Amino acid sequence: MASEAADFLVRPYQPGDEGAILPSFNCVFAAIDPTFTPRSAEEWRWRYAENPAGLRIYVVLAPGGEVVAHQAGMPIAMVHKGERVHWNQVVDSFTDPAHERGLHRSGAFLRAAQEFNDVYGGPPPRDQIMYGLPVRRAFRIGQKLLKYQTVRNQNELRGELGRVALGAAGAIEVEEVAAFPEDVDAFFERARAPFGAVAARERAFLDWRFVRRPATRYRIALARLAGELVGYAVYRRAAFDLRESGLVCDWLIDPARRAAGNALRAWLVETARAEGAGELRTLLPETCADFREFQQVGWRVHPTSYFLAAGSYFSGFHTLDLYWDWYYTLAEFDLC
Amino acid sequence: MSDYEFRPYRLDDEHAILATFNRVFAADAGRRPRSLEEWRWAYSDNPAGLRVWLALDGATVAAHYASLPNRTRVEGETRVFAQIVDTMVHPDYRRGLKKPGLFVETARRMLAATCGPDKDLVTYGWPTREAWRTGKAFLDYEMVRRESALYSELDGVDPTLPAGVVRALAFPESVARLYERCAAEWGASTIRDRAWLQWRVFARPGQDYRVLTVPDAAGALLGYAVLRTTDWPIPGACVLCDWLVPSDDRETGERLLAAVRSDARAGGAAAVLALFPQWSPWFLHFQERGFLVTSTEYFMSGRNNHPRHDMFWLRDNWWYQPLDLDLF
Repeated sequence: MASEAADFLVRPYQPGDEGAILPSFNCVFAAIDPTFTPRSAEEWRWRYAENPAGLRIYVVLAPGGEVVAHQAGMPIAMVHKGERVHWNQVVDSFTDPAHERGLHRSGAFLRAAQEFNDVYGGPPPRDQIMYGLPVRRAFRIGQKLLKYQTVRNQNELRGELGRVALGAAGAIEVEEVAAFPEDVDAFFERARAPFGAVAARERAFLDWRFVRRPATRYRIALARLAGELVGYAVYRRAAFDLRESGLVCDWLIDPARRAAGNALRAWLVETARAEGAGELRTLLPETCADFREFQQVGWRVHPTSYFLAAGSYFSGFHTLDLYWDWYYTLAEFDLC
Repeated sequence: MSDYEFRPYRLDDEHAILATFNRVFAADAGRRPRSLEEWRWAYSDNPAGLRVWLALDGATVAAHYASLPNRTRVEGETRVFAQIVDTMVHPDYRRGLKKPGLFVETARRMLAATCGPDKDLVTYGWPTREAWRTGKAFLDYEMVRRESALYSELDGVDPTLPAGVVRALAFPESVARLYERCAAEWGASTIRDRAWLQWRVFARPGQDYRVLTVPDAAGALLGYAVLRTTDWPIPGACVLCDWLVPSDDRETGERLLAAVRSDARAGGAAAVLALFPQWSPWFLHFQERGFLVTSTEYFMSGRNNHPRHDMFWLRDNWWYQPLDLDLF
């Protein structure tokens, strides 16, 4: 699968490439983002090598072996229209500015993106849909190379701790835990019912996403009714869209047990308050019941700087159905 | 394709256009035929001009692509944004999405003639699913925004209009000053002067808009709202079709919003629907007054004819209201 464009070598990741990827990545992003923190080898391994859904990386190498362009994705197991498939969140695309002209003139960057798309995207078992929250420049590149289309202008829900109300939770009990329990898989089967497309929020994914990430502490709360799992929430204090706050990183409620939402929102408020956050924020699609329920207890809808974009290999693909079908939270993105 | 005559509108084409229009849309349940009077209001009487392109097979309008231009303030300059409307292919001339030749050819000719950095700067609309797929594939349509409506039920609302709010039967000249004050906060907006508003609201045949105004002591406008009770998009809802209040004048906003609710209630509506760009302070204000943000079937699509005004820019800078669409 390796190919040459002038002096550049385009090929998929090979074990050990991270030794060349990380210096380039850290150098390129440090130059464009003043808040950037260098990525560690442990974080890289977690993101890519340990992702239970697989690894998706293409590199462009200069003759000296340095990585001068990089196209990557974080695949995710999905249940889409009842089928088990994979989607792919496109992340960490970069070109080294020192080689940008040569990369474009030689077509090496274009080739890397096209091969990335062709090799990883396609009918199952390949990735059905590629998606992301791209900035303007990345969106334009994604439009050309990955056939990106807009799903929605991305709104967020924001709750000021002093203003949100707490609804009745009945007999629902909330417990903070260090890891997800075994019965989360059975819970997911019940909770996914309203959604046409949803990431498989099963133990393998949730543990990787929120328990095993190096140097990052997520706080996890489970809601139970008479012992049965009826919802969970994941919290972390962090920056999103250039603003630090308490973030609801993931959220899933049993559709038949809506009061679980009230119990978990109360836990979120208590947790955020204890951590000194003045507000809570989250992403939820406007089309889900939760979006309305958060508003009904005082959370407000605000714009973000993001467009949610998605592309696919199959002709005739459009994003209109994804707007309605796809349930997602911040868990689907590498932004928190 | 070469057998068709492609050309812009000529005087009296409206009869053939209407024949095709009423044939194409006759299948829409509950839709009554469009009259000559309505056509003239939308096209020939539009103060910003007329944009109609036809593909003719003899005397038959085989395809039609048109827009309704609006004079638009864009970063201090007067430009034109044009709403794409009434796109159609006569049922006898259809070929489907994979070979959309006639429709696309007609569209491309109009867009080439009317759009560009020095012509119509942006074309826009709320497309049907079919028009979106064709437009995206062949005409560079992109999505500006999925429309999230603000929705509030009217249970318990007093139908009495509050003091200080006046029902208007015409827009005064002072509306231009009100618009200028509001537009200072917007990157782009339809110029809401008396000429446009009179045409858009009061001259529309069969119009059933209600206009509520808040005047100051000297009679100059502090704010206005245009309402219409309709069964679309939600049966029995009152749509806030236009809202013009400076974002720093919350007192006028409060009074006018109370009037909107009262008038909607008095008109028999069960709920009020409003639409604001999410960056507008009114988007948050209405939420604080009990409106919930809700998903809709609709989205704004656009085609920018200058790279600066792309979908990111339009999303963050363009103020529009339902009144900027011919659907309301």
